[in-house]
Amino acid sequence: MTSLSSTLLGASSALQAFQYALNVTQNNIDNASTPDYANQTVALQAAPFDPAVGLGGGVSDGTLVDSRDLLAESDVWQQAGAQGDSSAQASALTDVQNAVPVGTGAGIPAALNTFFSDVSAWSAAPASAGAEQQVMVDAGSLAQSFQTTAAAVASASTNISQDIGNTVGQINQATSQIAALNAEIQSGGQGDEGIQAQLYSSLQTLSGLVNISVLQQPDGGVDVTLSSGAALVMGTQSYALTAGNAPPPADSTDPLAPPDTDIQAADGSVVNTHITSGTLAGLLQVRNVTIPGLIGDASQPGALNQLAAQIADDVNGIVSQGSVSPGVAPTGMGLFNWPDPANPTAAASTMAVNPNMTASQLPTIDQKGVANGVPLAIGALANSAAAGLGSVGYTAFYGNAAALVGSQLNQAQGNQTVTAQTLAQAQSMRQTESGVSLDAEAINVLQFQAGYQAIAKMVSTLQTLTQSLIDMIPNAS
Amino acid sequence: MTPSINPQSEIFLSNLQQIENRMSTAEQQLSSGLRVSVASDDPDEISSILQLRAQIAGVQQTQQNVSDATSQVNSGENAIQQAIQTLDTATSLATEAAGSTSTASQRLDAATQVQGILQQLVSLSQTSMNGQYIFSGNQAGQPQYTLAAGGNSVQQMFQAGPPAQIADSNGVMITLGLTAQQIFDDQVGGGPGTGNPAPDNVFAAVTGLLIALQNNDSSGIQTALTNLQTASTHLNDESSVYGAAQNNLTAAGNNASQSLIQLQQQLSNEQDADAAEASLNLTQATTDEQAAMSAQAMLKPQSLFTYL
Repeated sequence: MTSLSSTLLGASSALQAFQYALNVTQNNIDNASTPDYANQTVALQAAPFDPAVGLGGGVSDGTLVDSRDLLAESDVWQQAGAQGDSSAQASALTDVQNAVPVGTGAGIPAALNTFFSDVSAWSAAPASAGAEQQVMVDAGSLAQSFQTTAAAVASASTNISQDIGNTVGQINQATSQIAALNAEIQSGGQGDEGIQAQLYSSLQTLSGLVNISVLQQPDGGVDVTLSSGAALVMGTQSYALTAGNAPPPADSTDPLAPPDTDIQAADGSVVNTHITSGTLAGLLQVRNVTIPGLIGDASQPGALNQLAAQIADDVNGIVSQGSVSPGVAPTGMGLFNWPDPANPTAAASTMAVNPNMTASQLPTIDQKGVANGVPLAIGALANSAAAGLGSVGYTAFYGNAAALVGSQLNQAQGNQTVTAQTLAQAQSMRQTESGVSLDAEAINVLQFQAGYQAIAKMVSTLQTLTQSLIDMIPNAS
Repeated sequence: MTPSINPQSEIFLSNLQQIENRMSTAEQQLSSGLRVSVASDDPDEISSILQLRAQIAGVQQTQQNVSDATSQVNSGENAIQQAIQTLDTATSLATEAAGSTSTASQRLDAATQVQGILQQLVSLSQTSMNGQYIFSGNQAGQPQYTLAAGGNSVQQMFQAGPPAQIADSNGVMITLGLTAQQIFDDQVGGGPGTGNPAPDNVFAAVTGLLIALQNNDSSGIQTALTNLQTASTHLNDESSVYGAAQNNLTAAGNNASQSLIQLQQQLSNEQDADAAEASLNLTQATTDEQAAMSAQAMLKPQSLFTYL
């Protein structure tokens, strides 16, 4: 048999339960704008009720449950990685594209056109000192345009390498933060949604930088690895990545070539191939694939160097066999410095007019004795396909190289737009799954308010009844 | 970072970015007049555009070369025509001197005139343009022939190689003329330097006449008269070479003009912006942006709390 006092106690515990529920609701509303905060709910639990055996019933606050959905989180991480990848590529490729201009009057194509036009003019006036001098000037401009373009690409490469270093720094900062949050969780922060919000915010930041695999631990902490299994965070320990120059392969034919960039895990293993999304993946793609395609690395000469060497070899081959006057033996001198076969990746950056060649030494007569055979042969190069360039002409070869960069940038920009949408949709989905709904919280407030008020009235009524009972006691005086 | 209150805001911003990208593209096209300014604008067309620009530059230079070469060929043609007229004068002198009434003194006087004719022919063989001797083959910096001391013969300074050619817009070579040796000093076999003048050798015919006149050699004068006529025919033949070159140059000039128009049209099609389309795109994107902004501004975040 229960008493009024036990009923009053039950009402009191109910007031506490509703107060706790209101606290949870208030905390949800407070954090409605907190990044990666997952909505929390508390399930009120009915207390055992059997007046016959003295169980007065009532209600108590149950377990605090957060609504975080790991599937939705994982989807956001995946989309954040794709967005980071495409954004980084778009930004880096814009710099590279600017380094290989295709505009009217710009860069190597314009220098080639000027050179071949003036060679053509020289062919029409082979004995003109002015025409020869102009060709020398144009050859210098052409060589300079190769140097400028190669330097611009190299500068873009340096900037991207710095970006890679910065990105690795950000990754290491995020993993350190995650390890620190794991430590907080292990030190009693289990179930603290504030810590969880920080943890998952860091994970999303990390996922935008590099592709990650996340294993949630029973205490709410996380272990984070690369897809290769290389550890980034294990419990309270973070493992830093490092970025550096890749050593040239043992069989490299050009040990002086610009090095690629390697990313090493904490155990020293190179993990480039396992970095498949995120900002780091996008930067590595441009740094180790696109840029070497232009200025070379240990395994390829690069398009600009191929083109520079081919032009120098072709023009020199003609000039060195030409004669200044009939009967005078060819000097064997080239118009340009001969490319160094031991360092093919330097052909563009070091292209220059042969310092021993002067306008008056520029031969015009070919081996058949044709008065303007040399300029005619050089001029014919403008429209001929070079076997060393895949059977395309110089301008087409440059155009193809520039188009490859443009195509990659175009695709990256398209992906950037698409991934921005898909990331926003994934975030929206996550918000639907685990975000705070102010409407739902308003309903909770109304519900708990009504319950709290009813219980308060009940307590008030019980107090009146208790007072009535007390009033029934005769006055001793 | 995910704002929790309005999950649609990220999508709105993403969509707005797309609209702004469209506006930026349309503005860039309208301001530059170009649809393709950088490789990423249309990677598939870049190589073609660059090649078209190179072809246009080449054709424009070909036009200039054809123009210069036409002047040179015309000059050569004029020189040969003058040489033909000069030979006619020599023929007249020879005919007059060949007469039985012509005295040795008269023939010496005629010889003096023929010396002048020889000098004139040598001078024609030294025809130059812009400091370049157009009949000097591959040594245009100097004349191939000079008048020998005494003025009675011609001295060859060097064996000239093939003269200059120019390429038309299709790369086909056009020979711009002949050497002074081919025109004035034809050798047996047609080759250079045989030292054996052909019957149609202009210099040899005139020199032969000069010597015959000086020697009062009637039969020599008769022989020279025949040789002069043969040489004149040779000059007419050589003149036709220049006529053919003129025709080739005219055709090359016309081809270059037509090619240039076609190439420029093709380049325009590939790289130039369609102003009407770009304007329409800009208008549409601007409208879309205003609509998106207005709609977003009207979407005041509402929740049940507003009504509590």
